[in-house]
Amino acid sequence: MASIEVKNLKKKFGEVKVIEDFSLTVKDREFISLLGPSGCGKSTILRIVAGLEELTSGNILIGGKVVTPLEPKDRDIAMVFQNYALYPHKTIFENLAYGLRIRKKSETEITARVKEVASLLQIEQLLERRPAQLSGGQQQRVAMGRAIMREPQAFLFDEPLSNLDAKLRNHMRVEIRQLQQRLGITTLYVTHDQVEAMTMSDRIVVLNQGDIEQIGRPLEIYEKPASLFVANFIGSPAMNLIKVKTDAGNVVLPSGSPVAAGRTLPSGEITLGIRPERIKLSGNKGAQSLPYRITLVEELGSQKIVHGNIEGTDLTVVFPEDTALPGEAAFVDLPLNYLHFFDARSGKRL
Amino acid sequence: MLRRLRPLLFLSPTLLILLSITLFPLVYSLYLASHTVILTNPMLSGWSLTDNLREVFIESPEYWESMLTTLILVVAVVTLEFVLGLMLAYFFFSNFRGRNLIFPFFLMPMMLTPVVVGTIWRFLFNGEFGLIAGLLKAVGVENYSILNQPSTALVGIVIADVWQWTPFMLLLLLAGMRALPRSPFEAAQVDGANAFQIFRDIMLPMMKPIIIIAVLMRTIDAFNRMFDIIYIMTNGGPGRASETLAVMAFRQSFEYFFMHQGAIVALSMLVIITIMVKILNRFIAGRKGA
Amino acid sequence: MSPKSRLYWIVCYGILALYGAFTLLPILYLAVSSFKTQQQIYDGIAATFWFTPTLDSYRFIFETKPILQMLTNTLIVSVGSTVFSLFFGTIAAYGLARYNFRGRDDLAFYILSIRMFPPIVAALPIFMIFNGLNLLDTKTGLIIAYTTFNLPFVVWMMTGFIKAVPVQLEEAAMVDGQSHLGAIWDILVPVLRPSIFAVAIFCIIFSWNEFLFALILTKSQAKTLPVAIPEFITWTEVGWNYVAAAGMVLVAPVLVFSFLAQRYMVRGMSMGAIKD
Ligand SMILES: Nc1ncnc2c1ncn2[C@@H]1O[C@H](COP(=O)(O)OP(=O)(O)OP(=O)(O)O)[C@@H](O)[C@H]1O
Ligand SMILES: [Mg+2]
Repeated sequence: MASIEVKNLKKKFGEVKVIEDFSLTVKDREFISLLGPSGCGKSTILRIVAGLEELTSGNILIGGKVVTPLEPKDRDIAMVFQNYALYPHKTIFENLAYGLRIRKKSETEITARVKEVASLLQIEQLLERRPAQLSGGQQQRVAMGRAIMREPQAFLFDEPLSNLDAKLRNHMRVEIRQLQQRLGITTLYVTHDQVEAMTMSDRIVVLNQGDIEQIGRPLEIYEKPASLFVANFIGSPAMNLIKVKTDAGNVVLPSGSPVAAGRTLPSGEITLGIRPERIKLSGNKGAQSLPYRITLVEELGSQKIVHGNIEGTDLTVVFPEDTALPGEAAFVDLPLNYLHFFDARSGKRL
Repeated sequence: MLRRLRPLLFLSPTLLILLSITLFPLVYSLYLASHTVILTNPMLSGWSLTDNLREVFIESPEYWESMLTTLILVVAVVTLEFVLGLMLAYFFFSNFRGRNLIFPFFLMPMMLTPVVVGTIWRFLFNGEFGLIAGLLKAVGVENYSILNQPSTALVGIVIADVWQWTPFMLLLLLAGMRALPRSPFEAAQVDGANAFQIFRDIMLPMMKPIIIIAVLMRTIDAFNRMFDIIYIMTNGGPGRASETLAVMAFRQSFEYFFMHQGAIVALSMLVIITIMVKILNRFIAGRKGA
Repeated sequence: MSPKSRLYWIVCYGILALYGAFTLLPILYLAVSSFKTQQQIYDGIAATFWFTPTLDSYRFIFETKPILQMLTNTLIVSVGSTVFSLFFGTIAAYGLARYNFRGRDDLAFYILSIRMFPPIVAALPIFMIFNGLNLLDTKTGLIIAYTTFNLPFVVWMMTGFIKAVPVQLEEAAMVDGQSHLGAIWDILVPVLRPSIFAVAIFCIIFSWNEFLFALILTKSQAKTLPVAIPEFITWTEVGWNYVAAAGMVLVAPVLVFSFLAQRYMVRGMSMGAIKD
């Protein structure tokens, strides 16, 4: 097992800069997700680590060894592709065995290892079939199996679950994580699905247009988003973001109502953020309460998502399912310790 | 850095081969066209481009007659092949028992050697013993062959070419029909359109790109390769009644041995075809973009 | 498709039957004529399909003409040019399909347009050049000449076929520990095998049927069978049965072959035009 280090990576496609200056260390046995919107460069970084794409400048180290000039075959990594890339003309057995065959392992060793991996992933009954004869979920397992066959130094995943239906995705998420922990293999995992990133990772790297917005543990990123971009990207329903002005110890909503900030903020344009699930909605007016007008309620079964506004400023609230909603006279409280403030211009957390 | 050169590595052998078998002959053709090269008389040789051009394009009407013959042939065969091919494709598009069994037989003509196709039709049209002459004899016409009449020789050639290449149209158009999405058809049916309206308003417009490509491909091929069949059936005759540009280039070079005149005719074909290929490419590129 | 009316089926079957007869009759005419004697040819329309078949015509042409040698030439040149074009053409197609570089589309267009150029344009200078290089009337020369249409065809078709195979297959093999060329050989080539097969069939048929180059570039040693057909006609205008026999020798292998490989051919044909 080994660490993966990416040092000052730059990548240009022709004249187009895709990655400006990217550095990251994935520690031994760590599971790191690269999370970001489509086209932000996630796959590019992963493919450069794998050696499938050439970098413009920078260095890649695996297990402390510089692998930048090496071909993929000499990097001792395994990769799971979004479309699985199973070899269509080979049986599942041969798909799994291919990496060992290239390394000229003995037939008995190969058979034993295939059996072992197949039973680990519960695909023993599929070994004689071809990829076209498998369901999406089964293909996914085979792709996983092929990756763990050689016990590589590191796993690379490029959106491995995005072609599966929601239920299977939830299931495989747990399986991949358990497998990774059992085998203790260093993993770099690309996804644009925040739930995957939140539930599976030791740490998440949030990317935006080739730049790192934030690196941190999932809860850290949820609770202390380093920028407006991260605040907006993580969490569902998305964080409420309201443009406000500062006034002494308060911030002032567009309508003119003051909200206590609990600390001094620099003067100027500021964005106030609060997660919908942290807002207290009730029929009782407290000292800090603001009047709230409900416009639409979405029932999810487990909870209600309430859309409405404070004197014209839109605000979404998550409300427990088992409690009755207040009627006409509704009020919201914005708890001090859950307020986030961002510089409206730079987007940085204050 | 090395990786940037890799595509070149893959492509260079083929490019070298293609360059040497296209560029070299092209330059040589230009040389031929601009000198007087008569195979039977090696002494006559010198720069004479303007004279040659005048000889071919101005002093005699032969070039323009051949151009007209070529155009008539191309328009006639492509039109007929398209109409017949579309009709057959439409029938093969509907489901009936035995369809897959008989389909291969409809494709047979395009596999045959064009020279043999020409031979078959030459004998079918033969005035003495041909099948068609036999039928004519039954109605009292003796020893008649359309290939022997300047006014009808082209008709015989058109029939032979249509016989051979309609299957190609059928194949392309049928593939195009099968690639169409189903939902517009179902929507039109729900809207109450009848079969003909669906064909005219839904199927044809949706097939426009493949139709254009198929017609252009056949046009280019008919223009280029309308040689073998004619050589066998009439050798451009009677007189020059079926002498297309390709046949003219061949006869000038290898019957009269005026290589320079043959080269000029051939090069003029190249110019015309280049324009057509450019148009074809625009349509292919347009489809990719869409 | 929706259910069709009775009238539709009457018209459909009627036209298919008529066109089917139009298609098959000439081929049958060739076949039956090759089994006739010269006398039987003149027996009139009633006897067209009603006669005592004989192999005399075949015996005669094989005895008086080097048919076997010409057949061998045709085969060697067809296979030679096909193998040569497939090898280099597929490699070039890989470069076009898998790499993005400036001018790629123009290059692909240039290669495609060579395929569409009038063969007579290339034939004239190639004759003069071969004359100088002593390549006239050699199989090598003919193989080179056939490359002018086979190589661009291979590049064009194979580029489409390779593009249709996800590049991740090769990448997966490379991550599995294979070199780039190894991945192409181990993974891409087997996946492409049916496509390569289809393209090869077409190249062989194009070459087998080729006439103009063979007519201009060969005299006796390297002469192919298509060139012999018109000679048969001038040699024995009245002997349609002999010409028919020679024609049968030429087209029968192609017909048998194309029926055997039909699946591949239809696929290859329509792929080229529909996809890409
Ligand atoms: N071969 C290439 N040539 C030119 N530009 C490329 C190439 N590959 C990727 N790009 C560009 O680089 C940027 C990053 O691409 P990348 O595939 O890494 O995105 P991604 O984050 O993986 O997106 P997705 O979630 O859609 O997979 C994109 O803007 C893309 O257009
Ligand atoms: Mg990606």
